[in-house]
Amino acid sequence: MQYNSWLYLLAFLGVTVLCYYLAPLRLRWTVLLGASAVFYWISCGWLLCVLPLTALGVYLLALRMERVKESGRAAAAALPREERRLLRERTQRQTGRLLALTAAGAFGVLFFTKYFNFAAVNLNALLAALRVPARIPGLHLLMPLGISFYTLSAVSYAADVAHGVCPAQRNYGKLLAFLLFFPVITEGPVSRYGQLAPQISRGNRFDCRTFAFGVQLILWGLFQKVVLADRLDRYVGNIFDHYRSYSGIVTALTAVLYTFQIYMDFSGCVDIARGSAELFGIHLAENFRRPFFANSVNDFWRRWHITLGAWLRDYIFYPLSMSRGFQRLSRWSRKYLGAYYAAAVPALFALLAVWLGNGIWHGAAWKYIVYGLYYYAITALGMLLEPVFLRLLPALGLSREQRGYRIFQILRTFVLVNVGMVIFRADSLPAAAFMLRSVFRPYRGGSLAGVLAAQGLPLGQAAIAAAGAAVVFAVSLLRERGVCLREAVARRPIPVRWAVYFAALLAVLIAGAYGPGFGSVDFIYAQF
Amino acid sequence: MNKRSARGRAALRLTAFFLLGALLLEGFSLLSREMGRDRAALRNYSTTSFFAEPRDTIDVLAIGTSSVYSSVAPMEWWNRYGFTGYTWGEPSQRIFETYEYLKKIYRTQRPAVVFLEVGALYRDTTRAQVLDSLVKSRLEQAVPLIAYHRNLDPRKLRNLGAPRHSVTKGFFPRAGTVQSDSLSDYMKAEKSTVPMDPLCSGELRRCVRLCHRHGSQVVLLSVPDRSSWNGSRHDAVERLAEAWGVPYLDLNLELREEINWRTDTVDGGIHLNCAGAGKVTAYLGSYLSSRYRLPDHRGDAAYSAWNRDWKKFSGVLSAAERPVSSAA
Repeated sequence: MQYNSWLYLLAFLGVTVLCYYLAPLRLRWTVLLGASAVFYWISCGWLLCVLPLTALGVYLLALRMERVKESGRAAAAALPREERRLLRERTQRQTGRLLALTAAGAFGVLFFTKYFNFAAVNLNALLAALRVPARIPGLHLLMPLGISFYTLSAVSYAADVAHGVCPAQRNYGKLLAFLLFFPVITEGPVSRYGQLAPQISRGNRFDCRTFAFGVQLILWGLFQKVVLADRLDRYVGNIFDHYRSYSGIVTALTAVLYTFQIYMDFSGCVDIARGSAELFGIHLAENFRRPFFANSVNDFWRRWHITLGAWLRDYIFYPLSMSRGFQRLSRWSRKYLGAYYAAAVPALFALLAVWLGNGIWHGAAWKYIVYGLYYYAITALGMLLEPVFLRLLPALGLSREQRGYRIFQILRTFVLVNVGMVIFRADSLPAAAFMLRSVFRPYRGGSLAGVLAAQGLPLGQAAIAAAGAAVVFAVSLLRERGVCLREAVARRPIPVRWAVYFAALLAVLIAGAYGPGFGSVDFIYAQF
Repeated sequence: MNKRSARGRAALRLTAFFLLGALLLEGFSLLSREMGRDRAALRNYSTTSFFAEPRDTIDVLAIGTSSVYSSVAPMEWWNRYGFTGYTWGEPSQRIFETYEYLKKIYRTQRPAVVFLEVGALYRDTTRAQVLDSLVKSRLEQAVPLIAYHRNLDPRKLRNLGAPRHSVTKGFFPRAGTVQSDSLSDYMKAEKSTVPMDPLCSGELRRCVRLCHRHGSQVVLLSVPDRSSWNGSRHDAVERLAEAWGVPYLDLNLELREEINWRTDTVDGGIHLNCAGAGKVTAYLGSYLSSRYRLPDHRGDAAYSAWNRDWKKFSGVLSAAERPVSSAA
């Protein structure tokens, strides 16, 4: 079920909101659980069974972890100090093993459904190269909806229980309500148990302001998705599908438009999800913070798909960096390379795992792995050259605080991100390489306006997209300057407020790229 | 007391908000419908023109997707047999919409024969899409702006106040030829075809019953379309037709020899051009005249407007292509 469909917005969400506020407070979480099950069943039928089964494994193992820790704590109270330390270590090893088992189970399902065929194809190629006659057959696998997001939430829950960040949930239904929560199951944001589960479990009273803010956020998300992202879809798709026919300004513009499309698509979806959750008084984590104001690639990833970045940081980067091997590497680096590299060298290795994880999480294809490695290379280069820049910039009379330099940094980041998006969107790596090279070859196939019109973005549509982009830029600029638009509008007199609401509603209904003449466009990130 | 008056004010505000919203939506809906009176196929102008026809003057109705309005030219039936017809086609029409439109149609007309084009059954391929179409079709009746929003284009302002009358009677003549990439037999059975959703077949059943209740005879119809049809889909519809005791006319099979996918399609095998439409119209005309006792109104003064429309229709076709006329 698409978040921008009438089915979701009017029928499903409407009925769920009604049931939620009619149900007794303590049972409201069951309404959300039931709604999530219905959402899942409508979206992918019998695959509904897969996630509750794996969630049962997570639930039982998390309970076991907690029991091991509790019994360890109880036994330790009566022991002398040294034995207490040994017992603590043994308990940690036990919970570590249980956590590894949970993660292996959750990731196992993800890897099997999402990556099996990719692995089989590559292994078969390897076997063929080695002249080994054996072949791994490909399987026709159906991937449960949202399994990528579900897996991250499930593993983070188990890790948080193992590390004592949160207690294990004793009610399986409540854990399931968290893991399957319908607004986040398709495209996130990646949810943490400690942040989301209590809001679901406790049940929330109706709050007019939160509800109104939720509706506004849904409208804003629809504006991004239906008015902007979907409007660009046909043009972008046509050019990427026939990339060999284009070059120069056409290819460069297409890369920029795709970057804008995926931003509007993903951010729009997350805003609809956040708005949906707010209808139930539930606040989800922010997933985007004006990413195109970022002044470096690192800064970009702190603003883009924030919750995925945070997950990779907390559950891959930090555990790796704090592991014994990496600590030894840090000491070695300090001894031979100096203080700066003592931190940088282990971080470089940990970041390799992070960016590989980021790349492969997006999909089972080499282009996604290269996409992750592309960002790793930029990050690594930046870290390795940082001491050089620190010396070079003052020598050139430049400062990172200068306005001109900041604008240069933002533009540089924008270009780098667009290159990454070409890798991400192109059909294959050779196609991406061709497109990136062709940017430097002038296009001689006619005017840009002619190409736009012929490939699905005639002048009128382009004008709507440009006007919409200007609105998004203005809103982003205001938010970057600390203005909360929802609050600002709420403080205005009724005529102004209502005018804003109706204008937003009509903008979506009238300027939306839906209905005859436009195809239905799935959310891009839903496939990951 | 204060609390009560605050609640009262809030209720008043909420009512005013929704009333104002409803007024705005109604206003823009009206505007979007009126601005849609042109020949753009986004939302077929002729469907609204249907209601400009005098009451109870349409003998045959063909209703369905863009396949119908690209293939069925009722004026040709008038010229050859003297019975009246109208094509109510909407792009990508869903079966739920068909039902809603039929309800509206029966307010002013009682067609003796209704061709229910069943391409609408397979537009949605997942349960979620089917349910979405169901919700959307009902919603569009309440807020037509959702259906006609693309008409709100400044270039269409000239359509305001344009005459409603349609001389093509819903037919949308499409000139030009883009031959199909493949010329293979697309009607061979495909076992992997997505099955028909029970909600769709149920809605088709409701359409059939609605037609029967109003005294119309129903013919399920498939129009030649390489992209949508295959043997499995044909079999599924045939099973329904047999179970309900209604005829099923699959022109993908009936006109297998006649339709030339090199010359008769306007977009590579999806829609027919005027040449293909001529063949479909001629076949249906012959089918109707041989099986149903439809009246010849050509000498009836009450239908004199149809003679005038025929002359204008010929002009419209000349502006596109002539083959419809010659084939009929």
